[in-house]
Amino acid sequence: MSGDAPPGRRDDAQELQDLRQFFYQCPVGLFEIDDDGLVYKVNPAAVAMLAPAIGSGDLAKLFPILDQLAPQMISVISQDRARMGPLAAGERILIPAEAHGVSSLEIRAVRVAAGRVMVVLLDVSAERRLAAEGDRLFVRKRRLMRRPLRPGTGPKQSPSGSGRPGTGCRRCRRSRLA
Amino acid sequence: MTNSAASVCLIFDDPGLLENLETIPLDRIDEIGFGLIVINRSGEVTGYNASESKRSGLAVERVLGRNFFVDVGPCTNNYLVAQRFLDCDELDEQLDYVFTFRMAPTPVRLRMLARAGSPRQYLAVRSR
Repeated sequence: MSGDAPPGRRDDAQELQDLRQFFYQCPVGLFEIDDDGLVYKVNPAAVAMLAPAIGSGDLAKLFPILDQLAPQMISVISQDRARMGPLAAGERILIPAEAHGVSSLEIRAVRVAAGRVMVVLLDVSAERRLAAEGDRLFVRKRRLMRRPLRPGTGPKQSPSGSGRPGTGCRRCRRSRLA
Repeated sequence: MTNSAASVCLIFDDPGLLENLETIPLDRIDEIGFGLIVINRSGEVTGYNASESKRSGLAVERVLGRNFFVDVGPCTNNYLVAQRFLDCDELDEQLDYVFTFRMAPTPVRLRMLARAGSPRQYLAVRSR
């Protein structure tokens, strides 16, 4: 700590530690790689998400991992190296998360400068679980609606057969009145 | 430790490492030649040795008292490491892993250690 920083302003060493801590605790997985997949920076969330795929590997290069999970991302990153900005809209991949489960990740790539690509990993498992739960509820509801009603449990049938007691279509009612 | 002047000479692969760690006072863990993180049963860091601090770039005072799996080493917050400590009262397992020391991927060998009934748990870290 130099002590030269103006009052109220953190010095460079302090800012670096704070930035490192920010990067360490970011819940989104972040990689900085070059166009050939060589890893320059990686944060802990990215390692935690990809650990089952990394196995005993060293993570010096990201492409061998992507080759197992999202091979098309490799060509997106390594081809058209002059293209800047977002390279891929976001692809979903599944990865083992525990002994009998999988987690769902979304992967994106952004070229931030020539030869520098940021790869972002988002854990979308909760979203996937909620969607699956919604689907299950929908199927269950549909089954219940299709199940034939037991006699005496449903609404009273109207003479017109419309299903609503005492009503029918306007034309039928009009003809009955006539 | 009755002989406090004796230097701490522990070997990462020693089958008796856990027994030896249990006898070492926390103020002497800096003498250990490999990285050592001591956590309590809640996951809070109670010991972080100089070797580990040097490699991670995190000052000891920034780490002590914080939850290791959430605040210090979130890369281990998964079923391969954190869950093993949660699931096992007694533990002695090794695992090849990747740490993110100073934002760079670093291949390491982890040894997860815990003795039933002890308030301490250990994560020993060695480069590979």
